[in-house]
Amino acid sequence: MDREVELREFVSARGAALSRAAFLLTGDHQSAEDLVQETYVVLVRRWQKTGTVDPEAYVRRILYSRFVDSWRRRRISELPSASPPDRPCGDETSMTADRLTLQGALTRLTARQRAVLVLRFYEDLTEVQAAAALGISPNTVKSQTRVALQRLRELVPDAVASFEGVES
Amino acid sequence: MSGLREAFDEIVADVPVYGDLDRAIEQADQERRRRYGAIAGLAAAAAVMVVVLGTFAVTRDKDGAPQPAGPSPTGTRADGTSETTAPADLPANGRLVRAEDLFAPVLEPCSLITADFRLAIPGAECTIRAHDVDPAANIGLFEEFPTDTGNDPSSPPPVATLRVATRDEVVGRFPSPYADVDAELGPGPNEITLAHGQEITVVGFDGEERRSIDLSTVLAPAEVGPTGEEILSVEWSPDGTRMALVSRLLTEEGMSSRLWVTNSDGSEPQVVHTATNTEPVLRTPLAYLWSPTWSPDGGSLGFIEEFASLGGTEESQSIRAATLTLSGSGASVPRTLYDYPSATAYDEAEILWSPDGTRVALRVPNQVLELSVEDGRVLDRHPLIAGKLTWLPR
Repeated sequence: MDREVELREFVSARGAALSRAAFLLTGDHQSAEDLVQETYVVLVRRWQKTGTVDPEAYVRRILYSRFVDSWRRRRISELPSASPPDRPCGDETSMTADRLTLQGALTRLTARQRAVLVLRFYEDLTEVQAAAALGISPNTVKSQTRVALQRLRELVPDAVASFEGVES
Repeated sequence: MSGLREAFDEIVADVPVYGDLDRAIEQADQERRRRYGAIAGLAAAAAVMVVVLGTFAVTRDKDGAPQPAGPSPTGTRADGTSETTAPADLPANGRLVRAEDLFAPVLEPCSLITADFRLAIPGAECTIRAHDVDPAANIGLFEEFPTDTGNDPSSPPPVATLRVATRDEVVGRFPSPYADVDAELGPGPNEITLAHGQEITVVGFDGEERRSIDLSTVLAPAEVGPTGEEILSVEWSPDGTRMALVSRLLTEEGMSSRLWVTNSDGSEPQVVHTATNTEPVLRTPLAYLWSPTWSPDGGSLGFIEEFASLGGTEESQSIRAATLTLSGSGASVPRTLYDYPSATAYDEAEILWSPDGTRVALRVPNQVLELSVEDGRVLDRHPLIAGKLTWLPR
């Protein structure tokens, strides 16, 4: 099959899923769009050069690596505040409000922590697969997952309790 | 009750499909044309330079002093000068190897992790890594972990299994009694030390507890979150009479780490170094310490220190390898042996003192360096070792 046709078929099949993962990672539409576009450029470059044996794993690695790297490159003034949300999260009662609060809490995590959560609990990858996607060790995935969930429990206890089935 | 997956699904319910493949193809083509154009130009310029300068095979340092021609130096030393490779004029220490390779036959059926963090044995049901090995005593302590631990965040964290082995056989295997434990051989010949929370617990090779040291009265109480200052790692001195501990404390201001030395029973604790990041003003400062290593004479410690900051996301500011000299009343100010070339987070950094005490092995991105403990000179370079560093005795 022609390489470009193959590429178009892959993007057509996986574009929506990549977009959703990018939005979970970045938290806003513009950044998510930039991330997906940058990922496509790297993918095309690689595809033109060699053809990709395992596009799924390769694209995932590009997307997540570029996300973590881009956060590291950003200037301090462009970063959101590290302080917790101003309004108390416990007042939220509806599931929608909980989701919005959870979404806000995700932006308070480090890039790597957020990437680990999305890979593990949205993409359903194992720790080893998530480690390969991020270029970090499985033990780092394990510890970052634990820290990220703990951070979410502190920031949005009600929302976390609702999906853990545990009262905080 | 819905799961985290359902929560994520709800967040992305209205996300459109991003990205434009045609534009990406166009961008990639433009980049390729630019790159080839630049390469062609550089090649032509280089050819001219070779002809003109071919007889002047001398480079100059930053002060203009002539230096022997050779590979460009990389990285920087503590004094800001470029590192160079000096003749190996110090005593040899045997070979630097990956600890796991010495015990390969007894690590099955688990898989090691490759340098790019993949399974060395595809499809293996567990991964394994070394916590501590003693090649001279022919004993190693390993942690095995299931490859697939399930993706339900509400389920309890999976339990790792600790495995003790000689090069020929497994002599102990038991579930770790604590989650995220740092395990170390010693202090006795058939003992393992586990650092967890604010306690140090010594168990036998069968996992049975022998004694425990409570450090809660020494470590700082909780300021943020449910836990106070936590012990992250423990390292026994070569004679087994003292422990070096690394602890971490979360505060309202950020996170600091401390390096301690105590007697073997936890008495006479001394903080020999505190890592506190004071740089960021608008962000949350973080300071990490890890990989404590004793000099063979027990008179000095080496460690890795990283300063980072958190502002919704985490950024590494600096990472260094440093040593300090212990004295009766405390310790010297840490001396930087090596600054990592740029502020890149490098979780795999590891430092290990050599058997003869004159040098340290340091894992840096893509290679392992042997540095002089006197001045940080690079004495030797090795290909990257992905796993626990260890020196084979000569």
